Amino acid sequence: MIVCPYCHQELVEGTIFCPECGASLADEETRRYAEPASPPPAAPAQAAGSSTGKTTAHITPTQLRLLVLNSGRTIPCPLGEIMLIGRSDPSGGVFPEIDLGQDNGYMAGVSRRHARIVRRGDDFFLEDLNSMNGTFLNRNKLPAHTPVPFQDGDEIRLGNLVLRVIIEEYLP
Amino acid sequence: MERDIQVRCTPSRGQLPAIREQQLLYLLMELAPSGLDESQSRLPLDICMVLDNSSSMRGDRLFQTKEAARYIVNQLTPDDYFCLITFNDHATVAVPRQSVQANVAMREHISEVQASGGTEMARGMELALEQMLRAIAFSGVRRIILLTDGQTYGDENRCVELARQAQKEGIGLTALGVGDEWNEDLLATMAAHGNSRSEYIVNAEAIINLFREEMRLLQGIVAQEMSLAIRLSPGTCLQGLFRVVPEIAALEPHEGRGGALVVPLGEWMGSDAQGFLAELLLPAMPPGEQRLLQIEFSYRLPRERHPREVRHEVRLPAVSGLAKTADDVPEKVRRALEKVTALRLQEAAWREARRGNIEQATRRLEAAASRLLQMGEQSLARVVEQEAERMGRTGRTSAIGKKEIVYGTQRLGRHREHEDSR
Repeated sequence: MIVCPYCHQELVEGTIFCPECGASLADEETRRYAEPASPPPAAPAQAAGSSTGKTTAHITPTQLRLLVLNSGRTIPCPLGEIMLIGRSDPSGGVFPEIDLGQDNGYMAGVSRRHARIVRRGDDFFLEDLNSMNGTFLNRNKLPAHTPVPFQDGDEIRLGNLVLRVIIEEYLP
Repeated sequence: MERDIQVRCTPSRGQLPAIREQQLLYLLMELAPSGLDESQSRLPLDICMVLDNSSSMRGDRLFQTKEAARYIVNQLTPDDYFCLITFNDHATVAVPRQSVQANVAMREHISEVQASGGTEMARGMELALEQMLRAIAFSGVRRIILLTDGQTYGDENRCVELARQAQKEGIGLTALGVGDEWNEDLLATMAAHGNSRSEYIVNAEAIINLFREEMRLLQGIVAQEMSLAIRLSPGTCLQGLFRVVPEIAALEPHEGRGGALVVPLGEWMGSDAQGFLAELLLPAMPPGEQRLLQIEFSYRLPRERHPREVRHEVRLPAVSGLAKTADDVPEKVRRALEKVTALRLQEAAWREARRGNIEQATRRLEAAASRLLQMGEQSLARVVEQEAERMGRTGRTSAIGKKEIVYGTQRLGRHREHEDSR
């Protein structure tokens, strides 16, 4: 048995795409992420309990973090291909990977399903999900449902919440 | 070069890990014609058009449909047969089955078709079958082209029954839905057979293009009476079988002679390549060469009396200590499977929605949207995303959104990643 790193479904050996969530299990990138002892080094909150002391230099080529300027919190982004940005709403079944609820997202006008980040290899794209108060990249409003590439140092604004993009390369 | 069909099989792994548990293997089967002379492949056609002329067809839809019917008649030669059935509250034989000698008269009959009343599809299909089965020893290509823009009420099961009867007789079905009112589940079920297909026509102007494409396909036949038989080694299961080129569709094999799993595929229309993907669940593998399955494509080339066969045995070595996860999946296998995954996720969504599991249905659609986005299918991903949101909010998708998703996914098979293998 293998376990899908995204939805944790148990799958038969040789599965290439998870039938439950559609995630690719055969990508070189994905497999590296799926290794159990590979906590991202720039994710202190998550890595603290599971650190093995092993260098992650060979494991995570690119790490994305978002610094919320309003609250000063740094959000280590999970390693999925697609990350939803919004506010969690358990009763509505919305559980975004990047949850801005604790950054006062509601007051700042962040929708429950506001935007998403799509990762393709080492490239990242930001896509507005037709949010109420809009998604801005470097102060330009994004048209809904149109993924736009972004880079290290860029500024993302969701409603009135401003995030700074930090993309770090880990070279051996 | 002798004309024939080339078959190429590509498994998802070149070597299997020798392990004590079950594992999945995917097998892509690509078929390409060789030495084919286009002019030789035009076979006599026997076409029956079954047209909805209920009142909702009034105006541009009926006008364009009649244009399309006249176009078909113009394309036919004296070797071909044509008949036209119309249906609303009742069904009428507008043009009885006849050889295309006097196509002026046929075109006049087409022009006389008027729209009124409801949609009783089964009566139309019954008359079509009655006309088609009058043919004795017709060796060409037989096809029913059904076009509707509405729901038929109460006779859905009969429609499926009649479609199956036609398919069993070797008559293929092209089921076309215009606009957003028709029942895509019914047309898709009627066309769920190797020699049939269903299509979605967004608006009246697109009708003629679809009929042109249909004629292009019917006028270039690579092979007839095609079928695929799969013989599995003990312990191996066929978990799924899909057509992946030129369309994405699930195929349902039945048990044939000697325990083989058989899928009739009908005519190979047009000279475009064909592709199939099998998902195989393999038993525990000891090290050494493993005989996994045998595939057998049987077909008849146009104007040949006897069927031919291509056989292919799939053997792979099982090796100890090999990584369990395949890291060398050939790109074309991966791409075919990616499309099948998108199909499976949306089919699972409709299943969950029918059971009332709206949350699950929404998740499946979201997963399908993510997969499509990864594939670079932005516009279809957007439709799926919007419908997932609607499903989560209202418990259902829009009629047009569902059709766009179902037929948009089916069309993924036409995107040409497989050209390198021709």
